[in-house]
Amino acid sequence: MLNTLQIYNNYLVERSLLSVMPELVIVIFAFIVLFLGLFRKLPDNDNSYYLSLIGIVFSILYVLMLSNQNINGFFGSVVFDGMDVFVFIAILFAGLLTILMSKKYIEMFNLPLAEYYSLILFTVAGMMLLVSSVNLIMIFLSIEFMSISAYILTGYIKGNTRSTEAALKYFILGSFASAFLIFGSVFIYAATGHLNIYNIHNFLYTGSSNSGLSASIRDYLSIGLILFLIGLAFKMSLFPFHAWTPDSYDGAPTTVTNLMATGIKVAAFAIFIRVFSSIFDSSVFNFYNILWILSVLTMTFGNLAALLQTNIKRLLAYSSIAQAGYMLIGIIGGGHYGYTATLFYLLSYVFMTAGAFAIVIVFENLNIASFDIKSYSGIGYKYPLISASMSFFLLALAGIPVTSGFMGKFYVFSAAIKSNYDWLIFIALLNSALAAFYYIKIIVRMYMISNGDADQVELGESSANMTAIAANITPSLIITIIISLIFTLLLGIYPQMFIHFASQSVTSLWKI
Amino acid sequence: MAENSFLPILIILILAIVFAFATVGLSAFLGKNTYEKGKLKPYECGVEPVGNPHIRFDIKFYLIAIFFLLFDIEALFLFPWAAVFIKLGLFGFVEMFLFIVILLLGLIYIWKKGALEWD
Amino acid sequence: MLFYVFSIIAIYSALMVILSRNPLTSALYLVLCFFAIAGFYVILDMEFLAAMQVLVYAGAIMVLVVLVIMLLNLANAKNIPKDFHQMFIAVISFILLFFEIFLYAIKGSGKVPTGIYTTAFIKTIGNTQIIGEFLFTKYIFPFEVASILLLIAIIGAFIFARRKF
Repeated sequence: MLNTLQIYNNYLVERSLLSVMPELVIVIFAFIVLFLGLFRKLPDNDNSYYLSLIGIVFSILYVLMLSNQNINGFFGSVVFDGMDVFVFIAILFAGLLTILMSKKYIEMFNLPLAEYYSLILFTVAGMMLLVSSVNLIMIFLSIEFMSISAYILTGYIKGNTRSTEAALKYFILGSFASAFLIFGSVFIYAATGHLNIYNIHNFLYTGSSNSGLSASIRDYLSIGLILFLIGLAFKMSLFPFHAWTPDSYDGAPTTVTNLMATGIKVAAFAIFIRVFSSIFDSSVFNFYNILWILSVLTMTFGNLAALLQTNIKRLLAYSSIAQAGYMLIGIIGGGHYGYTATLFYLLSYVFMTAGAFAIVIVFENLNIASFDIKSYSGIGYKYPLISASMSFFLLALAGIPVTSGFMGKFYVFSAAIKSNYDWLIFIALLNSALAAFYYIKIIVRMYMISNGDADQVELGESSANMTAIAANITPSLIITIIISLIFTLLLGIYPQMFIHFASQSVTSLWKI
Repeated sequence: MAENSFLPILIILILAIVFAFATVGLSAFLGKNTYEKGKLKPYECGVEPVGNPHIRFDIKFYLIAIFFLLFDIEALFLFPWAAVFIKLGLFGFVEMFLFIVILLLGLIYIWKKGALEWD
Repeated sequence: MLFYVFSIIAIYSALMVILSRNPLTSALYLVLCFFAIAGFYVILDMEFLAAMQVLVYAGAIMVLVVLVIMLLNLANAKNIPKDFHQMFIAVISFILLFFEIFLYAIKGSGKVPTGIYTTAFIKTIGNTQIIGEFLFTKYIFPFEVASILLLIAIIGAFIFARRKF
């Protein structure tokens, strides 16, 4: 129990507030956006869009300002360290790109804008809280924080059955996952008597060096950790727990799909790295075997299922499942190098996926293509620039050299080779080849001459099309695509800087 | 002191259970029992009921119930706070103030949006 | 002794929740189940949690459950065909879970570490006070985050249930 006098004397509140400042900025902006939408009935409701952009930028500035700090906040609930800096940047970019691409898209549905943008900000704040939390209670609470906002956003298109269905499925399975997570936390607490993961870490490693953990503690702990892993695996959409992914990615508004695919995945992986590196004691249970199997199943299932898809959003959903398998390889590789590789992969994944979804939104705005991949045929000649960038993002997702996807895969695989997981790499390489097949299939279709009717439409409406493009591709969408392109290229050809950044942030994991 | 502080609640609980059983039991015991088919109807006299009584509820009731639940949870946190209020001093006051203000913002939101209006 | 009484009530009512045909009967059994769980808290000397369990679960949440039952038109839901595919999965997961609990009851019975807040120590302070002190000093941050979480839930409830904007 803490004494209040002690709280005042040590400037605990001030330091604690500093440690959550980036999240706090986002939350405050979310409140402002929400309440401005309430009191001012402006016909042109752009202010919520711009305010949320400003909020994200402010938060990025705060992260950069604090980037050298290592602050323990709120009595071991949250921490701000190097790990946070890297992952916050990735998450904030995911949020920034999501908000940028929402501008035109969400106005099409005639939905309340203020709530939409403030919920996006709340989701981003939840992800950041999740990454920075070091307490089992705080982890549970921030997962709920993030997920509840995401459930609401998934079902945001009122009256659309698919959107509502997606939200319901996501909600039910997500609550189930949370139940696993909290059940696991209970067992971990029962075994160790601590909630703070650093305290648990100290308990495990100092305890085992003295006398060894007793058998009952081992049993409780291994059950607890496995349940905890299952709870997080839902959020990371690993194979047996992936069932919600295709449906909710498909039914959600595409911008929200982008946020789920990039932000939530990054946050879930980051907190998994934080927890895994501190309390998943491999002397209690060999977790590497479980992760090995999960990774292989996730990759193979994701890629095989993606091969059969005809809907672009479902295809990207299955591809994101497969990508989760690759990311897991870095964690299995373990150690400093492996975690660095996974963090790098996460960052590059954010830009690749955001770019691909932005282009799906461009086509959706233009009404030229439905989600069906068949309708993409011949698009490459009508819209050469957009199609070229789509091809680039798809090649990046496939892991072709020069792109960030290649460098990400390269680092992750070499981390696993360092730890002698040769068979895992063999399977992963086979999977990459399989994945390239369906990514390239879309590219081929885009540059394929379509038969008959599509050409006639193009000839008749070519001048009308140009004005339609000008009206529908907003500058913000172009900015989104350009940012994604730049970073995908930059991470691909000059990865050293980012690897250095990632490795610095991983170092802070062991500064307990 | 701590052990006894929940004793009144137990006594009230027992009294409530006894009262519930007693009233139902006594009226069954003392009252006159007549069984008729007509007694099972919703209205014993008057027009015959038309249609299915299982109609779908309006979602407005549900919305009110959810708001009740959320503010009920808010009230729940006030109990432990009140128990240690003196000990926490200003620090505790500020915390609770923040908590209530944030939920008050929620109330203002639904109020302004007209979710509490019954049209 | 009291433990077994509450256990039997809890298990029986939980079974009746899923076995009874009328959803309103299930809801009432759920209330009974919540009361039995509140009883466990009393046995563990956590009277405050017991009171909260009754207030929130048996009170507020059951109101929601009953309203949902009334909201859905259950007249149509009476003759749903039995899905053997689901039943198969249910049986398998039941066996697995049962096996897990069984294994657990046999193996995990050793002594595990306890904190400094033993039952006897809590009794000297009072458990409402101890919850209050922890909630408002060590766990203030989760507490404040919970308030924002509740606010988001309010927005969500409004967005899903509204008619017009």
